[in-house]
Amino acid sequence: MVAGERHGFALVEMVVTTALLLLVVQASWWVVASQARAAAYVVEAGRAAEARHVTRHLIGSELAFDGGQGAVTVESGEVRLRGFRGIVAFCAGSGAEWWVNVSGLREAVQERDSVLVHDGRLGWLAAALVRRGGGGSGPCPDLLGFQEERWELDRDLEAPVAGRFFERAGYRFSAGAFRTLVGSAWHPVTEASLDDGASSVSPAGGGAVRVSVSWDGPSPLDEPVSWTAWRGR
Amino acid sequence: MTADRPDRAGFALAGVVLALALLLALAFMAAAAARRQVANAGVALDVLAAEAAAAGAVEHALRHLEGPSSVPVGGVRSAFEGVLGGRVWQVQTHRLTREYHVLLGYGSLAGAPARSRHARLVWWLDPVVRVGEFGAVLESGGGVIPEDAVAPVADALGPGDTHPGCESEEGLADAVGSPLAGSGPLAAPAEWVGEGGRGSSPRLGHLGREALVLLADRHVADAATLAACSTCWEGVVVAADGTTIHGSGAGVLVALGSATLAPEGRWDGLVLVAGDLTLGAGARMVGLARVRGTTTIGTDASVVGSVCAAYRSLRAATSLHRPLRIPDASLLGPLPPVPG
Repeated sequence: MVAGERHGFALVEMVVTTALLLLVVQASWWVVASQARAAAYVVEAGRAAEARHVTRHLIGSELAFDGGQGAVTVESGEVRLRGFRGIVAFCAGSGAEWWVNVSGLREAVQERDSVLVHDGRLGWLAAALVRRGGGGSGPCPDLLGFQEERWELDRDLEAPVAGRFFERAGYRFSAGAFRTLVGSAWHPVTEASLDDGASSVSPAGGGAVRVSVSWDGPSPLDEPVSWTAWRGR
Repeated sequence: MTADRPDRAGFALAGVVLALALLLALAFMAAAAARRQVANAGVALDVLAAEAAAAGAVEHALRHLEGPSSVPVGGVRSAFEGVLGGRVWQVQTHRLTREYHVLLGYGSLAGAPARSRHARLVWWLDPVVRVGEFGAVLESGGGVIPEDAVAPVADALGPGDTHPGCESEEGLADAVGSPLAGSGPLAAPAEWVGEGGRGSSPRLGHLGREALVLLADRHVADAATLAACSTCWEGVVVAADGTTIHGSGAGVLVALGSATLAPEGRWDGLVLVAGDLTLGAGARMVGLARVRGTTTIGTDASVVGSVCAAYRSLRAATSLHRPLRIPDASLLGPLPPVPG
């Protein structure tokens, strides 16, 4: 009698336990599925936000330190500008050859970079970097993060004090990605998940650039996002 | 009964352990994701704070550096340093030429042995360069100037009138041409007075009309009577258009329009005039003068060349001795962090 009561009780227990377990599993499944959806949303939103962030950062920083009036052109969905790459402090020299201290986002590249030099007498002047050589034993002082070099420019300078060097840069949306011009090829800087038709760069007046970025397909974020990037410092 | 309990307890325990394990796994995943996000955000915040510290260091220097630059040309000197919120900041002054400097700000990163940097090109007035820009005692845009009224100066750094010589001043002999002509045309490019591509008139290097008005030690207008000895430098005296100065004054006179030195009046030091200058009968000006318009010199009036008087008036104008952002593009650019 006791054993029978025990078996019956165990069966009820098992049914209740199974039901409860099923409820737990169902709840867990719902939680896991919701989390998976949320995770997928977060990943997708992160990718879209990353594409926006990269585009905004590149265009914004390039325009903020572009090479001066007339250096920015926006045509046929492409923005072309002189992209800032580093600074230079003049130490000694004459004519077109000078000892300089250089620091920047990358090393200067001869026959590719241009230099905007502030001349104490004449103001800002543009020049091209013809040749650069290593320094180390010249007259420049030791400055943290700077290295001494010997530069030859394509023009004589009277009293250069400091300057910035640039390279010709280009950006556009094509083949589903935001791309930068490297040599003659357009390299992607975002993943190829953008909508070419809705993503664009266009002139906004005063040297500013209007940028729109749209995700290809259903977007997790408000689309499209547009902003105006301004020149200046 | 006691023998059955372990089976039942074990079954329930397994279910609980399974559920707990599932929940723990979810919790760990969430915690790990949150930690990664916090770490990433922390790095970005660290870099931003270091960049702000570097930029703030330069702004601090721009506000607090005063007096003539004490850094030798080509040299580097630490100007200020401090700690803000556990973050070390420092600013160095690198003197490129006598007047151009680069202010380099550094801000340390908390999470890495590196420093963010910020660089600004600044202009810092040097009296040696300013007086060295003169090609004549009186540079004027026009007017008939009698030769005997503005005599050339054979020894530009020698004593003149009541002013002792200044040959021993560092760099002055190299900057100033000697002998110095009596009168001549405005320098080209018109750097001090005139448009010259550099904005308003009058001008003192990168200091334009608005800056000079702001930095003035004294403003005069209409008929102003002054009573200063020839070496009692009053700093920068800004005169409104049409001002007539009676008595005697000394310092850097900046006339925003036309100005007149009344008969028997006297001015010692540097004179910059945006309009016309008239010297009344018997008036005497000692120093260097640059006049954008025409200069009219009355009977027995004279301009006595004295580089030393002009130099000392500029040295004494303490409000002008501070680094200033150069117009257009003072911020040299975004520099990457460096180890250290």
